Amino acid sequence: MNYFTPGPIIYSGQPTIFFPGYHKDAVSVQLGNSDDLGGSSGITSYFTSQSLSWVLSAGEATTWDTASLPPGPPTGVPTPSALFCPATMVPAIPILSFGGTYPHQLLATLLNPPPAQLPVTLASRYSLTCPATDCAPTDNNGVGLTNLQYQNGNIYADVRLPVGSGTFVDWPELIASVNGTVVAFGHMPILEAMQCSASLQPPSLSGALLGSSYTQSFTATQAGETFTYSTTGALPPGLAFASGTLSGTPTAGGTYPFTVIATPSDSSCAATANYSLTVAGPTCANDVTSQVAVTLSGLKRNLATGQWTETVTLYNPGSATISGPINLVIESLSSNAALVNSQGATNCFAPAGSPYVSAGSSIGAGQTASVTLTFTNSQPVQSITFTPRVAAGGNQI
Amino acid sequence: MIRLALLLAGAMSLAHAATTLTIIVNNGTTFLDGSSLNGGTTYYAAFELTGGDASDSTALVTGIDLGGGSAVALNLSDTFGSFTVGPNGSDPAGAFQNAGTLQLAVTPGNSYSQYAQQFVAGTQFSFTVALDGVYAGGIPDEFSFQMYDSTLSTELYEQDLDILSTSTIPEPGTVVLSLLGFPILIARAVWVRRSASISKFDPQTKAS
Repeated sequence: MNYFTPGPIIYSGQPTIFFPGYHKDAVSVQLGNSDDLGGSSGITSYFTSQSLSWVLSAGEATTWDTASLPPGPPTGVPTPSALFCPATMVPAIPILSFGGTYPHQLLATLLNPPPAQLPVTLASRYSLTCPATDCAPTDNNGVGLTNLQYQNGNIYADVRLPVGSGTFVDWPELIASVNGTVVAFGHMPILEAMQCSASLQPPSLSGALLGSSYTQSFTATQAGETFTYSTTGALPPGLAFASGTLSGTPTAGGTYPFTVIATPSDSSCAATANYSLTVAGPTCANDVTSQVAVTLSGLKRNLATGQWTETVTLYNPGSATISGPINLVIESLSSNAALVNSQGATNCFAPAGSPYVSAGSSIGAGQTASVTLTFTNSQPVQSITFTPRVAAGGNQI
Repeated sequence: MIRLALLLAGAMSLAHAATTLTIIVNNGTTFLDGSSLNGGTTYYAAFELTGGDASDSTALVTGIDLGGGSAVALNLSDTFGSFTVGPNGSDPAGAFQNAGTLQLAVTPGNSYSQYAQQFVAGTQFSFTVALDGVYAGGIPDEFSFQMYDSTLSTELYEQDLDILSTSTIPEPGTVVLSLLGFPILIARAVWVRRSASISKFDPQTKAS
């Protein structure tokens, strides 16, 4: 038996509030004087002197027995039974008793089916003009909903869930009233159940160096959202936070904890992350040349590029790993040559101003590391000469 | 199929610690760009000797075999430094003349000699080079043989040989021992399929 006929809530004599759609099937029933709505444990009603409507909770529809309904519409003013308790709106199993003639239809709205499971596909958003003068949407926890959406003639709720996983339990409701009188009550389908998944990147920060320029950007992403960024806590002196980027030149060492907050445009689903930035003083690399066997190959010129190359092999004959970073410093490079693949010039590693090339993160015991050097030579008749030195560790060379 | 053969003949003279080796490039040699020697195609062959340490070195190239190919006239702008072509130094075919030879030399004051010449490939390109010099420490002198396309824009093949000999005059009658005992040179080849076979080679000499 099909007890339910999809369609709008009809409230005779009053403005009509439509709840069409899959989740808003309205059931128009005509009740007898004493119809048993047995099994309905959560009927909520809104009762006025001239009208009666009520709403069934999810899952109750299948137990609604209308087999004993009398033919024809009831007339008169409906009177709830003793078990029907509109004051508390938490009735026990109600049995409605009616007497007389009912001028109005009695309507019941089938509530939402069991709540949707995440994820729910995002849909396009539409603005909503509430069909009543004061509709008040809330979710099942009584939290006001601000993201009502209207699409293809239907009203939907747009709910946000906190970060995490589990069963989606939000249950949007809409109470519509006219001049303070509730005229309809319904549950809306969920158009967009967006789980707050935004998280801030990066997850942690690498250290900053006192007196050296530092830049770090923070980003949070979530479909359909744009974020603004802010911080709480003390930032390292010399650094400033603007538009999601922490930048500047640290002027004081130490460890600085702070929090970055990414707030989306609709103020929901904000993401926060705690960080700790350590500003360290500069430490110079150690000279480990004496610990490494350095082998130089001969030089050769590539006629296509005009550049000269040679390979330098670093061998660690010791029993312990030489921790890096390892850099090969080209000291006293002859004036006729320039190192093409230089990665910088020495600053604290004497003598200053010598070019260097990375040779890896470390050299294990008994292991080798090879570096190819590429030069230009302005005077080919002159050999390219230099003194190789090996720098290890530190955060400056 | 032998794609590349480095044949160190150990033809040391009694007066110098020369080491000879033969390089053969044929159509089984895979070039750096994945191609191989293609008969009828024009290539550049480049011989370099680069000084690095404080000693003199020479490289004598003999037995040049174009495998049925032909020489393209030498362009002196493709040469640099000290070199000698024989037996006829004025032959336009340069080192690729019949029974041609090429000698490159470097000194601490003249540390780079280059000889590059085009040729039209036959079935192979091979030669023997005798390296003579003493390693004086630091950056060693190095002989490098390279092949390029006809415009010198793409390097196709490279074979590098460092001169690391530490002795100039081996004892007479100890040539074989010298071959086994002295670190004569280090050969480094650059080609995609490293299938070098080395014979009569100093065990301390390696192809990498």
